[in-house]
Amino acid sequence: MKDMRYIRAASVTEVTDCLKKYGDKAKILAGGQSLVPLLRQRLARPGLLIDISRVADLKFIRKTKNTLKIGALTTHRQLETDPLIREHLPILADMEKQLASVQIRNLGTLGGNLCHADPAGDVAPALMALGAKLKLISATGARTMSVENFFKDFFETAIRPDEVLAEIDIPLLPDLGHAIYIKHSSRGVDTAIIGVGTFILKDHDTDTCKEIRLCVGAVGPVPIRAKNAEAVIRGKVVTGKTIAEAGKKAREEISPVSDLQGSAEYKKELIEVFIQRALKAASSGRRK
Amino acid sequence: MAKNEIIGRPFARVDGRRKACGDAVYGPDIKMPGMLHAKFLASPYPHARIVHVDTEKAEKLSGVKTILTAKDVPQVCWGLMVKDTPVLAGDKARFMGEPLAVVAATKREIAEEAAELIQVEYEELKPVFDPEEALGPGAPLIHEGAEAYACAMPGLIRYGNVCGQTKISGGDPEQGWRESDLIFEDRFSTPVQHHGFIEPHAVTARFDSNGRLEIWTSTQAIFAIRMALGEIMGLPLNRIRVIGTEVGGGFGGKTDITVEHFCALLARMTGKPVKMQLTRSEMMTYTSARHGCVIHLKTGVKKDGKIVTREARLLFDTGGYAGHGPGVAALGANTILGPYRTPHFKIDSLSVYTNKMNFSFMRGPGGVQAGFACESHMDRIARELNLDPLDFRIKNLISDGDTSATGQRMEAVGIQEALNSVAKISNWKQRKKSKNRGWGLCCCQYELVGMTSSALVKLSEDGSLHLVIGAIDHGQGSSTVLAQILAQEMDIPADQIAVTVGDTDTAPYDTGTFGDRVTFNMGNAVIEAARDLKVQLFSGAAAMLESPAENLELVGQMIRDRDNPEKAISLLELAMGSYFFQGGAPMGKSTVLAPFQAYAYEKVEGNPYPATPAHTYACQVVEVSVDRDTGMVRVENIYSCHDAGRMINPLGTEGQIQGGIMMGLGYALWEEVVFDGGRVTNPNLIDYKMPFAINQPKIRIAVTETKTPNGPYGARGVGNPPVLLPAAAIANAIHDAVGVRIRELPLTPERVLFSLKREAANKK
Amino acid sequence: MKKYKLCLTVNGIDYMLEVNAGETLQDVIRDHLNLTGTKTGCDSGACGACTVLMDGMAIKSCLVLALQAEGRKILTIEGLAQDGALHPLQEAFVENWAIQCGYCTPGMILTSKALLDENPNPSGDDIRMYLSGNFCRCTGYQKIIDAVSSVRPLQGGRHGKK
Repeated sequence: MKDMRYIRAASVTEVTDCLKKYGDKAKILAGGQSLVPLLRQRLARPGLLIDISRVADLKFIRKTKNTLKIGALTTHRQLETDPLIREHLPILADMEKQLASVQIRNLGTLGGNLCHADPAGDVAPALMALGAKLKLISATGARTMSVENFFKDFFETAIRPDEVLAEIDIPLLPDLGHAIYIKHSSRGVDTAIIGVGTFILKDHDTDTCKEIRLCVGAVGPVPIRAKNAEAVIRGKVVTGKTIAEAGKKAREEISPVSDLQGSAEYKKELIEVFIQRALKAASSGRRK
Repeated sequence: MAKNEIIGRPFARVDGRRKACGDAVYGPDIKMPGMLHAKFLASPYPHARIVHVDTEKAEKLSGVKTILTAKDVPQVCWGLMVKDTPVLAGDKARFMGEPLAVVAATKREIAEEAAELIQVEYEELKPVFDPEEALGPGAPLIHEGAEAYACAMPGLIRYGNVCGQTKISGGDPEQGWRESDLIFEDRFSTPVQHHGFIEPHAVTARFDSNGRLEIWTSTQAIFAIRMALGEIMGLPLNRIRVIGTEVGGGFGGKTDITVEHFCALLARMTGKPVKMQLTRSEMMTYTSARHGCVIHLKTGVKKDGKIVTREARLLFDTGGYAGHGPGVAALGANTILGPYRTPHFKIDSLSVYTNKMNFSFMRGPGGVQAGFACESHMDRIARELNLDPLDFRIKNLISDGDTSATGQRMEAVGIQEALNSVAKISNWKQRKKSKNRGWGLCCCQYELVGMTSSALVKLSEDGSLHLVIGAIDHGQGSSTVLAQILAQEMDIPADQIAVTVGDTDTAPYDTGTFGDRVTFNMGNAVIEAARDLKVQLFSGAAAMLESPAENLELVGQMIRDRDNPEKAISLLELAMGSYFFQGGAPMGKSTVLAPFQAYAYEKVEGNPYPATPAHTYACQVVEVSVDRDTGMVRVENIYSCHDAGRMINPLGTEGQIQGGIMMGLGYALWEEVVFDGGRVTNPNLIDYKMPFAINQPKIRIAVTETKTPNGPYGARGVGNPPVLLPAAAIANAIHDAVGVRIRELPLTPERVLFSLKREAANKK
Repeated sequence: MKKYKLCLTVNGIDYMLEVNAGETLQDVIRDHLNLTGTKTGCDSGACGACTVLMDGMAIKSCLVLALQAEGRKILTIEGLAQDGALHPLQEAFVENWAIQCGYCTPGMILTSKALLDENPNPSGDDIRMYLSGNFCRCTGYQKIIDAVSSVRPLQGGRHGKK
């Protein structure tokens, strides 16, 4: 039988040194909420587990002038309940409430969730809408990448075998900016059939949309932006008419993939409905 | 003096504390020194000839103690109704997930690894997954030579891929069609539902040096397991001891052998205790589940809404082996007319082999499928006749003196009162209709199982009472209810009674815990045993008190002369006297075989369950709202009325109803074991969607009590009907809300949305 | 197989054990320590039956590797009653018939304890939401919600936080 070894890392340097040495034979263990069942079902069989859960340097929520910096080991539950998050990025606290169960939120981490890259994950479309950036560290240095570029395929990311995700940087919402995440799932605490993260910024004087991001999860291998739909809204006043048109555009531009939660045909219908709902809620300023 | 009335009182569970403290011992908790762990190798094909099995590589793995394949195990076929099931698949595999080999090893991971190392050469055969296709010409035959199988049930109708067929007729259907003003036809289909008990199947077996088999298993029916093991192992039943552990949920899924025989065979081979615990994925691909079903209904009515005639055809997909399929088909047939007077009818219900796992009993078997079809169909007829669904049903309701589908004379029919009651609590006649919200109504008539129960009541030296039975309490609360019944009979506080669910060595026989039969039938057995004990006590006391035995009564733990109350003796004194001076240890015993009911023998063919000792009744009203854009259905309110005959324990009754409704809600809205070419695509509790606490709608319950003559104090079971109701009630409410009739379960948002779209397209 | 040293506290008792890297906390609790009150249901984090408290937090012990629990304080159902007196939640579950088969009960009670420790006065919906990582197939949840609701305001301070 194949032996699996275990290292409990104490510092980021220790993690990156280990990764440098073992590369893709090693697997990082953060909260374990996605990885442990994979190990159990023998779907993942790494030679080495690097347990990073005790690395204190990866646990923080800090506000800077323009951003919130969140350590990769921040748990879902911390995001849900942290006063800084609630004040500045309520979209994340709201998103977390609909994510899995309290037991899983207690241990599951933001970084672990992103690196697991479940195409139906809730975190990614919300962070994409916020324009978050990820800081990846390796023994040779650090690099930054937008969340949008991070996901490559089903359960696949741009992270290199020698890198660890250390930090998520989220720009603070500008004064007239609104961000929401809405989700459709059969029982309310389920994997998303569709999830839409939305950010919208309106001009104070003209009420036209200055900036918009519409990010759709659970419709394909990776969360994607509905760019044609965004184009309909950008630079215009958001009205029932533009919302309807954006919904149609999104439906045209996205070819969803069937999964266990819903067929491609059904997701297609939902794209239109949920883009519209997201736009309606975000533009009316409701921070859902 | 007033009796210490305990029937109908909320009495706390006798097993509550040990379950709340974590010391109740379930199947997975059994552990023995030197114990081996077992794992089976499952067929990766739904239908394949097994050409060659090579275990050499697996056997070399360190820690592997033995591997058994079809050639190493008894060459018997077993089965509950049709003896069609080999111990391990030998010639061919009939479903994906069927065990071909079993491994025992020192560790579970080693057994798993070894199973993966077994090399099998298969020759794929053409599979069939759809019961309608399986009946067609040229469909692959799943059991060649099925006619040679022995049957445990006489009179089963079998041919081709059909392993059981119930045919029932009444009146003159042809005349019925002629007399009908309007005829309605519908086709319904229902999904496979997983029992979803949280405790996995777990069995531990060992042989002692005398060649006696002891087996610990989480089962609903210790004696049924013993009988099947006797047949498979070739052992007399007195050399098998089946010890039921605490059961972490059964719902019909733990009534039969799952892996008991594997553990027993491996234990015999290795001389060591062997434990096998299934993974959730194995549970969902190998063990049983609720039959998927296709139902065609055709009903003729008069313009005024009187039902004249019905034709029904039900196809139950029973999977690769018959299991209880023929019985489930019969129960479907018995239920398909509902509680409605139907002068003419013709029912044909089949249990059909396909290349899927073996489906079997699950809470309300046959009735759940038939109930959805019948009550959706009834709702449609009411709507198209412009009749209120309640009025239409009332117009056709059966009452005492009518006959059931099989011609059994109905008595203690509780449906009328239940329907009135649910109409009242839901305020049906004044219900408010708003946009995208709707109301649905559903009735249920089902049946319970009788068979044999026996009980032993022991009076100990100190006068305390001990009830010993072989009926497992798998959570429904039977041990508590039976303690109450004994307390009532012996006029003693119920918390002073101890209940022991014994094993097959120590307990008197019971058929098993299923079909709403334990309170009903074992309840009668406990009353009988108590009365038997009292006869003995009165006879002993008569001599001591010098009073005639027939003058004596038992009140407040005293036996006294009715006419001369100062002549009295306490139970304690009497017990002491019996043990040490005269009579010996007092023991009341009983065995009760529920009475067989007459039915229309000549009109019923192939039906293993032609009559029931009591029917069960319930009705439900549901209010839903529908999101037209997403198809999402929200169940806002449920009003449910259930006839308990006589409620023994209101807490237990409510618990059964609330739990059953939620299981029915899951079946209605989300639950489906999804198959893709014979492969289950969602064999886990994440993608198989059972309701959570947040999915609970507001539920209001009412209980009526129409005493049934055969039940203890008039009680009948309440466990099954709650599951029958929600699917049709919700589907009917969706129709009321948004005008679409959905004839296929579950009512997922996707299905509702596309039904709405189709409806809109049709209108254009 | 390489063994690793693991120190943790379970129900107030310190243990030093040797485990494999792949073993879960559930394995340690059930197999090493024989505390089988922690139930195993799905082994994939779906059912909640194996819920225990780790440093006061409800977690699913099948989703945690044993070695992740190094130095942690674990409370299992066996550690809840004190000096033979049931915890108010255990009492409430028994009295309200919130138990049927009992298999989800230890996980339900411990998850409820975590809830009440965080929020002594939860609404019915708070309870429903918090318990929605735990399946109960028997009761339909109502009596569980009744039981948890009946323990407000939190009685028995002596049970306190472990």
